[in-house]
Amino acid sequence: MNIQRRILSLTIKDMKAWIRKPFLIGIALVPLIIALIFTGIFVHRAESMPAGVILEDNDPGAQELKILLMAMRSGTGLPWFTIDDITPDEVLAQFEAGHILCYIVIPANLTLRLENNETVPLLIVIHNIQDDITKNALQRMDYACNEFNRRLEVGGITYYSPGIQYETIAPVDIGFSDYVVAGILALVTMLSSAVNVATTTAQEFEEGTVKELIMGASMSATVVGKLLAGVIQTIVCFSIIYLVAFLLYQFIPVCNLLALLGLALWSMLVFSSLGFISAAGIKKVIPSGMLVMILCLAGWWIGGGLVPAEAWTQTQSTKIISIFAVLWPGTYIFRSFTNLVLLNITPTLPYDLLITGIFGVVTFILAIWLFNREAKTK
Amino acid sequence: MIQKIYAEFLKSFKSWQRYKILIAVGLVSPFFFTFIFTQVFTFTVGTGFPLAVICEDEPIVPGSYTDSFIEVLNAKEGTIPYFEVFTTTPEQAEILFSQRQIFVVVTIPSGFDENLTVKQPVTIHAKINNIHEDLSKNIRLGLESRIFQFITINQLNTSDRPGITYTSDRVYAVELPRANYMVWGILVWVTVFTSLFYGGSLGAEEKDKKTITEISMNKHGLIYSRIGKTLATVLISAICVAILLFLNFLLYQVTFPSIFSFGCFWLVFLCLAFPFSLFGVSYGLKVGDFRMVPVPSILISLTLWIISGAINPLEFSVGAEVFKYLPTAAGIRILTVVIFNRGLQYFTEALLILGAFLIIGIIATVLIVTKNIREGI
Repeated sequence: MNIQRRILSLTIKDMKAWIRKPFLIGIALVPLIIALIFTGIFVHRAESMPAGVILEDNDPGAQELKILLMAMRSGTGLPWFTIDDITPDEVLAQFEAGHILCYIVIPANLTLRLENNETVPLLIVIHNIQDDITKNALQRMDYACNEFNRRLEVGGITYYSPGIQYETIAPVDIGFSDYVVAGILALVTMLSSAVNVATTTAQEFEEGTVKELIMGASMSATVVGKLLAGVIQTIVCFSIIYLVAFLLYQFIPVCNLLALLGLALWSMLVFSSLGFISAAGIKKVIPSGMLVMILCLAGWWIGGGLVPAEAWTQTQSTKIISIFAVLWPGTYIFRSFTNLVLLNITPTLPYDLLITGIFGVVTFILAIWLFNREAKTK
Repeated sequence: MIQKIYAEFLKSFKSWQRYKILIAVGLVSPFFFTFIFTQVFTFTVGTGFPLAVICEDEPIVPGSYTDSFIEVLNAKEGTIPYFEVFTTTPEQAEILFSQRQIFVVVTIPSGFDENLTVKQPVTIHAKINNIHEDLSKNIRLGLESRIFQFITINQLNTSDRPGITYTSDRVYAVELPRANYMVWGILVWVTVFTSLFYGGSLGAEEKDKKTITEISMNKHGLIYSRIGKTLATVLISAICVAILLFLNFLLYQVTFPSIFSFGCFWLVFLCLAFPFSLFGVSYGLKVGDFRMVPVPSILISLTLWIISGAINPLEFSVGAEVFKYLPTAAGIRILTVVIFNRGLQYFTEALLILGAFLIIGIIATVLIVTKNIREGI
């Protein structure tokens, strides 16, 4: 009973201290809101390429091809090319001015040449400021040619070429902003819990109240009380971020809300000890908070916050990042979160829980040991 | 006056030298960003992306359409991405797919060879994990590119049938890797970040150390302090940028192509660093708390950088028509011209925008100083 009361009083004390200091709330929330706004608004979609089409004549086949080029869509419904219906001179002028990045020339007599069993080459002129523009233009041209050739009817004969049928997990490709929001929700659970625990614990060292803290009850009760406060604070942060995500992007998880909350709580518990270790080691509010913040943000990037970590390809120069991704426990949280929140599937959940659970236990033991040592030597 | 400004400049510079943490933040974070950005944008679905293939007709006959198709899928030439193909069983593919170890499984259907031989339609089945728009885009278009290659080799080039193909013409003969483009753009971010961060830190220092009263007791003390701190910030930012340039040279072999580009780079630096340093110092003096400096500095500098064509040229980004007026966008465009000799059509406009920004910075300084003198500070 005494232990429970001790834990509760410590939790309440930390919550009050947290609420009284907007800076502490800010350090746990602001980076997440920044990430949410930035990645969601400014880097939010696969690109639609501004392009022009020049028809050398009014051939019906060429008209059909132009319509096809204008109608091509990505898996999310975004046009591959943004094409305005303008004259050839205007196309060239826009290209010169840099308003469009490529233009496609459809040669004269397309239908006739196809009827003569010809392979007719189009021309695409690319403003290749850098190689990604070239890649995007060429990929889209490949796709356009495939679409046109797939069931080509010439002179009453239909010519076939291999087509591709996609089976996808989600009905439409999950948008980048949705993926990022899911990753940021996962990040909140890690970053906020670690930062909150780090700042409130380091404050005890800074203000010299750590001795009083450990004199009252057992070390584990102190640590649990601190962690519990951190978890409650993180739930508040999680709710705020979730609300912001909903308001900005109308983001709604496809999974059961209870399942989401369960996974979020798990992640908060697992990562809170990290903040404790940082605070016990550094003993200063800002540096200890910053350290876990940077660690979590770097982990977010590498562990799958922007692109699934498993998609990092294993080239020689990038092997080291793939290794970091495997070693960082946050990677497994991101995987479970994105699977659950975006697709409502949990095939890797047991494995992910096991790995992060081991990490949580190890860091918790380390936190108690380190705090004990540092508090006594203070 | 000059002496007082110089004294403040020297004091601020020495103060920066004393705080190792400040030096570390200004150097480590840009270096870290350069590394992460260049890595992230070079290796996502670029080369070696795993692709599981299931052949419903076994065994694969050498020289058959199936064999040719797998060869094309595995080809490491033409448009990226380049897949790393491995044939597998449906059961194994399902396990790997569900564990997210692979993101795409291609099934070559039974009768693929026969149908192509008798010119009947064939449909390849691709199961993709479309959890991420950009990843899915690269997988879908990557597969389309391979199919186009297959059709070109086996149907169009053999005059087997009519169809369309394409040739490409490019404005620049040599392709510029995106990572190289980004490395220079990051230096614009570094300039803005270090100007705001160090400016803010130096500005906040006086209130933090409670020396603001002493400064304001001197006649025009705050004005000299502001100017001295701004100049010190510009110098500190220049040091950070120079160190980063050196590291980029060592790690990525990034160099200036000419003396002219070297001069232009530092001109862009000055046009950006001075106004942003002034803003940083003013902000720091206003809030007087170092804790309020790092987050806004990161927030403002990253926003400006990202919307200014950091990852892709501005014309390929959302809101280009508005964002092209940003000084950071102008800076990136000027660097693109002088370093890579690309985007010359934007050069004059970018110069005008950046010049206007510098003039606004100078006018702002004059206005602040005039206001302070009027208020008797």
